[in-house]
Amino acid sequence: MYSPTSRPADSRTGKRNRRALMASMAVVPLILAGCGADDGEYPSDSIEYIVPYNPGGGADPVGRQFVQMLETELDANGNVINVPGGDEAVGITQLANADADGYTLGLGTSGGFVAQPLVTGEAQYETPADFTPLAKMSGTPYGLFVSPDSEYETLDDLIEAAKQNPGDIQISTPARMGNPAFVIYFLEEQADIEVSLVTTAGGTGEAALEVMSGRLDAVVGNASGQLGLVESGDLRALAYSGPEDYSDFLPDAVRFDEAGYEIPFTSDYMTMAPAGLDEDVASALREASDAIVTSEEWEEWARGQGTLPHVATGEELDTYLEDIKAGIEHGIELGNDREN
Amino acid sequence: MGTIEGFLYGLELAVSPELLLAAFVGALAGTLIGILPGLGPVAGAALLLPLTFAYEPAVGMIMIAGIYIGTQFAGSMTSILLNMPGDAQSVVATFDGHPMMKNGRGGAALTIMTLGSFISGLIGLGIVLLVLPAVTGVAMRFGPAEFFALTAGGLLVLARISGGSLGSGLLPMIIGVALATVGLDVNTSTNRFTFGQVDLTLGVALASVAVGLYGLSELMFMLTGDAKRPKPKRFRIRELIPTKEELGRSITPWGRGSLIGFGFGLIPGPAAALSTFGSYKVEQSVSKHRKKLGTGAVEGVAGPEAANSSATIGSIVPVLMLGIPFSATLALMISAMTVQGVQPGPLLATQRPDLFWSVIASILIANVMLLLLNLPLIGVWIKLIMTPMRYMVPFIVIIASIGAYSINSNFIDLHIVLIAGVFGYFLRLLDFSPASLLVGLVLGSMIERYFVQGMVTYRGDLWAMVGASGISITIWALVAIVLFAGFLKPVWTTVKRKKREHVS
Repeated sequence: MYSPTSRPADSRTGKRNRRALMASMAVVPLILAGCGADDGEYPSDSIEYIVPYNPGGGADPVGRQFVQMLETELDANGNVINVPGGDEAVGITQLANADADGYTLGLGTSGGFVAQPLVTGEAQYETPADFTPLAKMSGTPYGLFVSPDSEYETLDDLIEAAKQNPGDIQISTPARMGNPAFVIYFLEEQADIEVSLVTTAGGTGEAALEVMSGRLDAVVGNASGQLGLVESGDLRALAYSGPEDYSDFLPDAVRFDEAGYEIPFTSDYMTMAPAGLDEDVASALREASDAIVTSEEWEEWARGQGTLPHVATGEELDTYLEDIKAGIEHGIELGNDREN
Repeated sequence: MGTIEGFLYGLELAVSPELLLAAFVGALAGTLIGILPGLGPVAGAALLLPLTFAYEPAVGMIMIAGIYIGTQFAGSMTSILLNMPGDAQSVVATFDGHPMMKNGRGGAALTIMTLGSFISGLIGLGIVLLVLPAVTGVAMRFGPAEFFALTAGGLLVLARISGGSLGSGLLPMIIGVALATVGLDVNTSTNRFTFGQVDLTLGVALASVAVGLYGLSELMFMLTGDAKRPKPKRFRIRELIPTKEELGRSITPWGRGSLIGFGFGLIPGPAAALSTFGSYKVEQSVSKHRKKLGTGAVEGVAGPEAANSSATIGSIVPVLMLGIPFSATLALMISAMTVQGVQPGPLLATQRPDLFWSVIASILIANVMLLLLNLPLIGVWIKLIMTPMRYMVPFIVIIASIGAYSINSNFIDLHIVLIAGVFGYFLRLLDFSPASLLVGLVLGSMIERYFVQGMVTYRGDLWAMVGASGISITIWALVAIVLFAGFLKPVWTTVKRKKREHVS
């Protein structure tokens, strides 16, 4: 069973050490990359995999697991490089600017790949134009959580209360322009309600604390990250987003779709490469990525983490990106129209 | 988990070979870097910190605890040996420690100091275990209003009491607060002051600024020949053993210092520095040998050094429970925790009991390590201080650059180190306090975020936020007292004098 406190730390130590070594010798791979033996065979060099988050947390393990399986799949060496900052923008910019030789890949969510350029207008990349999408590796729902002794027993209770007193219910998210916030905006629009949004300083963890203490009414955040608190009885889930069933993990919550609200956003980790890969390199990477995310090993690992292996590759992924882009554009519109 | 079982559980985790080694390496590296000319605890911890990012959280955190305690110890050691305090909290060690050195009792002073640190470390840990359940309950009640009171009030208090003229602390603090606004703002999802530079959306990393401000600028002082490099006297191992009289006279100051230090540690502010001065003041007024203080009296070393050590432990409690640091070194400790994916806060003890308790237990172990390590190695440390600059400077620059780069794998941090280094050189040349800049940088972003979050939670009503709870009101009242006590004192004395005149 999933438990956030007992992730086997020792299995990660080795990888971390390797990362440290790489970081300490940052200059060396730069030099080597310039003169890598190029005999036409791909891959003939190690592959760098940019994770736009710090080590630990939710995203980093996904990237590391993918790289580990990619190493076997391609028979190559892979290195995870953590480049945090700017809601993924810093790492993704590095990925977009990297040589399109198949030796730099990167992780990101639709929040970083798609939403960032639309939100800030300062991003130096555009999705999908600047990337070669390889695989969507997960589709973990965002959950709507309340305190166990909250007066809201169901999603309907909360919506009913919001209708009675518009703006009274305070819901917390990590940022105003991100997938969790869009979940709230979509719910507001479709249920014709109005709530107040509070962004917490310390991310979803602190948002959960605000809800547990009763200062705020609810929090929307990555469901897998809150499973520990749900299990210990400190949080209660009312509903969750996305198209897939998550009742194995949150048996008492309803899927927004089932309740009549269409909320497509999920925590959707994707792997991409820069645009303009050689066709044989691109197809080698596509094949490998597809083999990984459709494997039983991946599914088992993902479920163990509390994430859903809701995967997509190829055309399916292109369609997903188009759909989610439309959703995000609408979310940003709704966000810009808000007064609170 | 109860506190005692928790602590024993942590001790059990911490005595595993891996974690013991981490504590050892941390303590050794901390002492080593703390003793290098002028680097001191802040720059030292900043330099070593990124190296801990490579390990799993428990190992990393224990190394940081070791580094923290090690650098503080080293700071006091150079105070005694060279009359060269590593930072503010070891200034007091020069008052009697260095005179003892001149009287040929420097070795004994070091032993008294080390033993005192160890004993008060033990006492401090004991108190932590006693008060922790109460603190956890209080910490759970901290919301944006309370955090805002603590951070904003803390900043105001720090500006008032950080020593030197008001301006020398206030100006760098304002610069620090301003720097804290750089980066992606989560409330509006807009980039502020990044000038189109994507890398700047990261904001200005504390560790890079610390490395530049303290480390690089100190090296510049060394190169321009402005840094003092006095030559220490040689002394024999035999001198390390204190006499029976010296030991006897140390016992009560150790006890007093421990209690004073812990009390100060819990209060937001430069706890360790205040506690050493506080303890020295107490020794000056209650000690049997108070007349001799300042001329090499052992009480002047024993009390303040014990206070220093237990203040360190006391101040770790708010860091772990609330996630709020009031000194640069502790801020670095928090950034190390967040890099490890560990969010300090009231949930830490329940969500990651393994981490929480192994850190608490490892503080004890790091203290033992220091005891075992430092006394026999004092000769080595002295040799190290004498390393020629032509080896030392490039070595430190390389370590610092690798460290800064590995924080985010981003070259922007190297640029920040460079700029902060040059800026820090002039800041210190003009006698401004670089520590205030760091504190402003850390607290500035917290203040803003808690303020905004609080204003939204309390629907724009500032007074509702200030009066949100007893905790918030109490904090603001204390802040007001500290801020205005200075003004009230002359008023008070006039009133008293008038009264006396009236009576006569």
